[in-house]
Amino acid sequence: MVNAVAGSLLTCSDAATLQYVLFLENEGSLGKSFVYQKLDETHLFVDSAYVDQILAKIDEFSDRNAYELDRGNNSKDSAKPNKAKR
Amino acid sequence: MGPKQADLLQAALAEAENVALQENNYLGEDFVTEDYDDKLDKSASAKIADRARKNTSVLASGVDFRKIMQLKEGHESRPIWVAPTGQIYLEASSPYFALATDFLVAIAEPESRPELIHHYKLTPYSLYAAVSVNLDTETILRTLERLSKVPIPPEVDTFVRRCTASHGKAKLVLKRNRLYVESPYPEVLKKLLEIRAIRQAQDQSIDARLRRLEARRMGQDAEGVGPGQSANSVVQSNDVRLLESAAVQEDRAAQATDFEELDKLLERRIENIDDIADDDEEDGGVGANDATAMAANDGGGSGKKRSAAEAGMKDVKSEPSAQRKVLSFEIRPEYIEQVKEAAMMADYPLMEEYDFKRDSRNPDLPINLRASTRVRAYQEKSLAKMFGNGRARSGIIVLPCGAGKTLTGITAACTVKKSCIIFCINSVGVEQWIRSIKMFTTLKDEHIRRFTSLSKDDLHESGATVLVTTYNMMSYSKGRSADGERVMQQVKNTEWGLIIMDEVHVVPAKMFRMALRHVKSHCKLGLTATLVREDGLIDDLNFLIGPKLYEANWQALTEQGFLAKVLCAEVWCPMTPEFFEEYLRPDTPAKRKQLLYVMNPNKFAICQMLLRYHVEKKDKVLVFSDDIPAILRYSTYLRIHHLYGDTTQWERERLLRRFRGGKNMLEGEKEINVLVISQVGDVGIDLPQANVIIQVSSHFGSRRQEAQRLGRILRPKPGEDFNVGWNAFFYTLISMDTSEMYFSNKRQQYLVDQGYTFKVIRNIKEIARASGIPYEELPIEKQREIQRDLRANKVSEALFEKSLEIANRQAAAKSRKAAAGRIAPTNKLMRSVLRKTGRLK
Repeated sequence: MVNAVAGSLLTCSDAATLQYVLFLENEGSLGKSFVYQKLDETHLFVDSAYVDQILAKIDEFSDRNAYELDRGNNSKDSAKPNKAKR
Repeated sequence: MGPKQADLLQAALAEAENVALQENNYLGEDFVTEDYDDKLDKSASAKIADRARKNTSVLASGVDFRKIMQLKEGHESRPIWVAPTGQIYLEASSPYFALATDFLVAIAEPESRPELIHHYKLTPYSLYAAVSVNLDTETILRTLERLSKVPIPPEVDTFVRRCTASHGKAKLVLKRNRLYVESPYPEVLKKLLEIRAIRQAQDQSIDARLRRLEARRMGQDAEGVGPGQSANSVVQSNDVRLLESAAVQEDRAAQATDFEELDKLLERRIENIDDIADDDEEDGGVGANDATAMAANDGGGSGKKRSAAEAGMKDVKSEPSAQRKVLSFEIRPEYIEQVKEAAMMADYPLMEEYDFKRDSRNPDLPINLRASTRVRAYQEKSLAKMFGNGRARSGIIVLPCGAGKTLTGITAACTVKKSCIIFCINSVGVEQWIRSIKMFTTLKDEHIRRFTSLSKDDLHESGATVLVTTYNMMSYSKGRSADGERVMQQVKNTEWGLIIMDEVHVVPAKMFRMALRHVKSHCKLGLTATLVREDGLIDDLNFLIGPKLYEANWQALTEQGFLAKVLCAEVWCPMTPEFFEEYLRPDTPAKRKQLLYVMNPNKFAICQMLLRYHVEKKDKVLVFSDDIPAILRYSTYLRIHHLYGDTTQWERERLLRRFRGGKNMLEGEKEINVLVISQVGDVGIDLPQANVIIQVSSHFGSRRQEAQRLGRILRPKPGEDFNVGWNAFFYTLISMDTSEMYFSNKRQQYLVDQGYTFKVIRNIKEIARASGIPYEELPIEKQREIQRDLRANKVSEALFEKSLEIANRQAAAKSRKAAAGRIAPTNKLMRSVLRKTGRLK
């Protein structure tokens, strides 16, 4: 008997990104298993219902490694020599 | 910017405006109606303040000033924007760009200077620095107003006035190796003495002598005790009540220039009288003050006119009522920082100026630049800031690496021509300075002395010495050898004309402060390429040394060919699946995570590819890594020599010689083109031949390290054509999707502010393939091996073993001494080792 599953093909830009998706799967952070099959180094077959969440998680992850300039903090010491520290 | 330069600027501006006027430009019109403008602005500023309260909306990123910063007429031709926060933005495309840059560099701190818009910031320090180079409040505000597209916001106006008003009222002077706080304004001294930190520092021991002296004087000339005399003594004995009466007599209306002229006159008189007072050993410290009072007493009005006549000064406005007395109190040298800091906090920063030309007490140093030595324009410009009005003032000069900081320092020493002490960060630096002094100046070798752990030379008999030493030598406090102690004593007893501090950004560390405390000098010059520290201690330099006097524009120097043109590239290396999998695992320790992204096999492969490419081009490559395990790995895998902290001095010198190549090498040595090097290569090691850097790992988000490393390749190579593309390469290899990305972006910030752009290379593999450079993946078994070793902690364990062995050996030696009761083991590691071996309980 044929056993068919509907799902989405997830193409990752590199092997590391795929590793991150697998990490999400193992960590169980989306509440349920969603990876049906690892096809090769950059392709996964996943549950379509989770695609948006997966993409959001990946975005969040790469944001974490982005440095943001905080010039805002500097403006306060223009008013007075820095008294803090020491 | 000296007064002359300020005038020039004014004149140039006025001229520019006249030209603009002829062209029927608004800027000129404004210039003509300046008086009206001022009045209008006052009412306008009030309105703006109102509007500011109502209309400023804070956006997600920054503040929206559109509603409160209304453009003035003729804004098109004005180059700058002044925001109410004290931020100033300069358009690089403006025809007045050069003029505005000169002015802004003098009054504000450059925050960021990329290609099109430069960002400056007004800070109290920058304004103090401006005042100390003789720009007065009104000039600053007037010039700002003229350059600005928008009316000067009232906040900025108040800020500038507040910061500049109190500057220069009190001075810190060194006389006969004693420190005094001096001021012609009794109320300023009074205010300063009200600060606890300063009162503490006041030398109490002289109080007793003072009272005795005063008693004697009271008896002597009871008939005519001048107010100056009593005021002077009173300040010293802390009697604030009496001081007020002196303050009443003070003429506050006198102008700053006036005060300076008078001050000079007084000092001259003091010196004369000093010589007499000097005989009286007991009164040594007080003599100067005493004399000051006397000079003030009889030299008030008449002396002033004479000075004007004598010196032919133009600017002195005769004010018959002016009666100026320079009052002072002594402070103990160990409290000097505390005093400076407290005074800064109280908005009365202590000015330090050294009138070296008229210092006849200290012997002259026969030092001159060689005729062949060429001082570059920007070096002269930076020194002009230091010697603005014929006196030397303390401060910091910021020049990029490779732009000739050493020569700038040496030129300063040649100007002052007094004993000079030079602090370097290590003994390599000491030798480099000595080499440079010999190369650039005519100073005889006998005047150059070393004070390092290896050689402890006595100071020169005449007293005029250039002493080159390290921060460590000066701050080290216990267990000196007899020789060291003797030299140290000589150093302490010398009145130094100038301290030069190389790589001054390291000074805020506590032990370096100690170094400063031991050495009394008239003037301090700090040199650095990177005035940033992640711990925010850079502000301390303002009272440890002085304000930033000059900061060079890196891009301008590059365009002029003084710096190499560097291509900065951030190469993104994808993590291999196995490494990334382990990196993501929550139970992987942080240290191993770090090693995982440093030793990412793709990084190895890319590094190897880049090395091949550059070695073929006959480039000299430095591979930088902060992690010792990684250094050893890269070294063995890529078969290149490595150099790090544990490398012996002998081996180190040999490797550096071979890297420099050519006639630097000894016979039989083979030149090497690539070297893996740890943090030891960040500063101090001079490798002018290097022109490529590949950075595989680094110290988290340290902006300073990034800039220092770039500095290794900034020195332009002789005989290169500057119009042809890039002549140096700075690659940083980043493992994608790891925290290295974050750190890397943070690290680049300082260089980005200097106008560098980092090119992100995502697909270096494809680029390599397209240009026919062989690219080899790391064999899979090799990858597995690295990972296995990492897991087993093999490399680091081996290293740990080694360091433990060294510690053990040192501890054994120390414990022998400790057993003999000579020293107590202080080091934490040492104690633990001793405990383990049962030598300590």
